[in-house]
Amino acid sequence: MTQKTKPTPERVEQLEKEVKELSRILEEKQRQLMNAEKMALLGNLVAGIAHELNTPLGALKSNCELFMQFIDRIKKILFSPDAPEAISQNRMLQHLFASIDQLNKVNQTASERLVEIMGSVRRYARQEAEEPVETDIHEILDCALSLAHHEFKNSVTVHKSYGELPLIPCFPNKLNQVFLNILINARQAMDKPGDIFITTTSETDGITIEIKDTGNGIKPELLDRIFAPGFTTKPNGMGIGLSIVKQFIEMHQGKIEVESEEGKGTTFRIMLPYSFTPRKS
Amino acid sequence: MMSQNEDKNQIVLVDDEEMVLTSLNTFLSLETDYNVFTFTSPKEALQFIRENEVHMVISDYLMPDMDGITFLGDVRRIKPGAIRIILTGYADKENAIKAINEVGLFQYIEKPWNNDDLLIIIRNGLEKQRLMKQLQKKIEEINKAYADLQGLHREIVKTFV
Repeated sequence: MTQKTKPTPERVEQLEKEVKELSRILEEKQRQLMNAEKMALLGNLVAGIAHELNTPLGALKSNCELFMQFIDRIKKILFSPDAPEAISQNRMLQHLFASIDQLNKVNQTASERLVEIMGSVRRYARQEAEEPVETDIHEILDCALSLAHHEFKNSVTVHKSYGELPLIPCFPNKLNQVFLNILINARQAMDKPGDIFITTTSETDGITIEIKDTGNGIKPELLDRIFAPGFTTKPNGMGIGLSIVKQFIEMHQGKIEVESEEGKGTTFRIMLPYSFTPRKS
Repeated sequence: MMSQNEDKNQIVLVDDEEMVLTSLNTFLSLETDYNVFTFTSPKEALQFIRENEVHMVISDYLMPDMDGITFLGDVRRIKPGAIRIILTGYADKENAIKAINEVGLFQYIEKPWNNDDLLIIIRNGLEKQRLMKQLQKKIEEINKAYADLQGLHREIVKTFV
């Protein structure tokens, strides 16, 4: 029977430290998993809600349009040359109809905005295609901008410089997530109102999408770690956003680069090839 | 060519949501001269379709009692000449499209719908229905004429035998 040497007090202390650290990491991972499951559930809920809204939205949209047409017809009758003067010359009536016209236009705009937002949410929430789809990248960018609109209101001015781009084969939902992620990060990097510049250009091998913000920027020593899984500067962050962004770009055989200057802002540059052969996972 | 006795187009609308039926019905009543019949219950709609002339049936996809595809499948059995259209929300569009071929639908319309597009689809559907009916009539006439001809032919042969 071999005699095992008893561990020294220093060794015990070191082992205790390692166990504590591993426990901490495990707890952290568990928290991230719970959070991710909650997000997934929320995603399903949102998709369900978006679907539910189609019906009342359909009725509202249809009726708004009809109201405008009905009012026009009523006006034609009431203000026609053979209508009694007491009616056709009635100032209050004319005033009321002018107000109705104004409100109808507002309702029309409101229902169009609802349809647009719902469209963006639905596009984002739907099942991804299994094969790449020829897509207009600007549509995906606009969809992401529409979803981020709430975050941007009053604090971010968006400047779009869209070039002439051909259709690109891609997984639209994944690119949507990529752009949305970068846009939200850009917003969160701003302590005061700022700007976001989106530029798209077509190059020899593919297209380039540049998203530049005037936020706080990223410390130079952190720049090459931002795409690593688990990296986050947010207290409640999971650190998976940008690592997923990188994965999704790589799925398209594209590239993503970042430039940043503390206090000035950050620029993300994404390159997507004109064609690629998707790898079967 | 429309004969003087041709009935007005009869359209059946089925949706479990009253607000959809009211919106569609009001729209159609002002823009067209179709007779529109609305139902929140697919079963009641089937009863009506059994007992009445129906040129077109428009149904929602997701309904509590019966889904739209099953319902329109039943409609096809009862009144095969009626044009069948499904109303579908974005989320169930893919399922609806798959089932459309099984049941033989004319078109699908997404919610929220566009009134102008809806009108064009309905007009096209009714026109198709009218043409199919005429075609059927012509085929029957030809068959009858052919049968008469064959009868005559037999008579002639008999005379010479």
